[in-house]
Formats: sequence, C-alpha cells, structure tokens
Amino acid sequence: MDEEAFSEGDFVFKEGEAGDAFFMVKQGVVRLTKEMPSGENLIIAEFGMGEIFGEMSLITQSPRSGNCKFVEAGRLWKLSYERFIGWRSTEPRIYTTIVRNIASLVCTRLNATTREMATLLRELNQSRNDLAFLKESLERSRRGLSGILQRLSGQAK
Amino acid sequence: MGDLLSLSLFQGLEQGQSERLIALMEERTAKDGEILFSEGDEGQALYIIVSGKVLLSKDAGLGVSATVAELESGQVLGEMALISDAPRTTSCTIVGDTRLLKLNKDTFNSLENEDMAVYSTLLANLTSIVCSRLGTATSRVVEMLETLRMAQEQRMSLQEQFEKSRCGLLGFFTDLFS
Repeated sequence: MDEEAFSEGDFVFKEGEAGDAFFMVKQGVVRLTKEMPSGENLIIAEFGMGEIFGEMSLITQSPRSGNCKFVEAGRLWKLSYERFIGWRSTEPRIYTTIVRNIASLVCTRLNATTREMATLLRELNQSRNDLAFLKESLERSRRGLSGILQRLSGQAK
Repeated sequence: MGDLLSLSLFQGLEQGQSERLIALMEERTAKDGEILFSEGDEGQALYIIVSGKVLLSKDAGLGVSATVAELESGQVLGEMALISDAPRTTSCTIVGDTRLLKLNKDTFNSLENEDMAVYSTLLANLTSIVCSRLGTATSRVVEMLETLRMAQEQRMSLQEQFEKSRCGLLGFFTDLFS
C-alpha cells in the first residue's frame, strides 16, 4: 500500500470526486463532513490511527459522498481500487476477507444511521403535533380577544 | 424469472450461476400483518420480494416505533444478515399478501467452499446494496435535520405570537378592572 503525508487542513478527497481508493490512518485525525442545504458542514465521522475510511468506494465505485480532511496532521496508507480488484482473481480469500470486513463496518454505520432516522422521525412527529397545538391555541386566543373587543364595541354604542 | 435476474443482487453473475442460486432459495408466502422478523432477532436469511410489500420499522425511543423504509417487489430485504453477525436492526411487517424468495445464511456461507466465484460476487453485491442504503439513509437524515430545524424556528415564532396574544388579553383585562 502507498503511504502519503498530510498537513492540518489538507483534503484527502472532496464530495463528488471519483472514489478510487480506500485509506487507513497511520497517524493524525481525519474528519468526514457533508454540506447541509443550510450551508452548515455536518460532521459525519472522525477517524484516527488504525481506522479505515473511504472503503465504500472499493465496493460501489460511486463518487465520494462527503469531504474528508485532516484536522490533525498525519499520514495515510492507501489501497487503490485497481490493486484491490486484482486480488479478486489472484487472492480470492484475501479479497473476500476485506469485503466482509468492509461489509461489517457498513452494516454498523447503516444501523447507527437508521437509529438516528427513527429518532428524528419521532421528533419530527412530536414537532408537528406541538406546532398544531400551538396554532390552535393561538387561534383560540385571538378569537377570545376579538370576541371581547366586539362585545365591548357593541356595548359602547 | 427474467425480472429477478436483472436485480443488482445478481449483477456480474452469468445466467446459469444466477439460476442455480435462485434454485437454492426457498419460496415463501406471507400474509398481511405477519411479522417476518423482529428487531434484535438473530438474522438468518435474506429475502427477495417477488410480489407485495413490506414495512421496516425501528425502535425510536420513548416507547415509539418509526417506519424507516417501505420495500416492494424487486427489492432485497434483510441482506445484512448474510454479511454481518449483528442482530436484525429493524422489524419487518408484511403488507398485503406477499411472495418472497428466501436465501438462508448457511446456504450462502457454504458457497464459499462450493463456488468461490459466485460467493465473492454475491458478497460484493450485498455489500454494495448496503452501501447504497447507507447513502440514502444519510441523505434522509440530513434532510430531516433541516426540516426539524425549520419546524423549531416556526414553533419559536408561534410561541412568541401566542405570548403576545395572551399578554394582549391579559393587559386588556387589567385595564378593564383597574
């Protein structure tokens, strides 16, 4: 595997770029972020020594789904897609072991994301109910005020 | 059968290989409302929805369950059981009469020794399906965070208006009785 050094602030890859390698952090810390519609950068994950990331591109070959940059200077090991896919015929057991390890990682992440989705669905539902209740209370309050004003203006006549 | 072969699950397999794989699967029918598996169960199989629909739900905390996905015919379900030893992450409920093809984890694992080429292709395809689901789920979470933020802004604004309105009423009565 190739090794590469990075300074703090250096990008490893940007959202939308072709995914053609996966990485293991040898030293330092990388941060994976995604830009929200509001412009805010949502932190998806951070990886330190010994942790791997970018592996999904080995499986899906899709463009990168977020930005990745070093928040603490360090070094990365890099495995290119070409070398990896070559192992499928030359070293099938190594290939399947790597795929299974990636699979395990992705399953864990999907579970965490689905859990977050479920929580958000509950919160959104609660929020909708709260909004409906507030709107109703506001309506009642306004009707109350308007009713009183009407009666008073009737009395004044 | 032709439709099944075009599923992403079988991508990269030759027709003969796909057909042999389908032959290893069990046909299963399920009735409306049936719970195919529950969150926390040991995952023992993957299912292909041949016809019908299922809902996937997950514990959302505070005693509430949320529907996180709806899957229809032509889609794969429960695929994580084959590539991970983790328990089921969602519960699956059948909607309407549904026909499924079931691939057991044991059957899948034995392919590693019987037919490495098919095994490694299937393994990669399954992982790819999960990756794609992760992408979709992450996008949905980002959208929902944004919707929630806007709803909270709207709520604060309504809360303010409500307070003003109540103050208005209160002030009115105070003047009236002073």
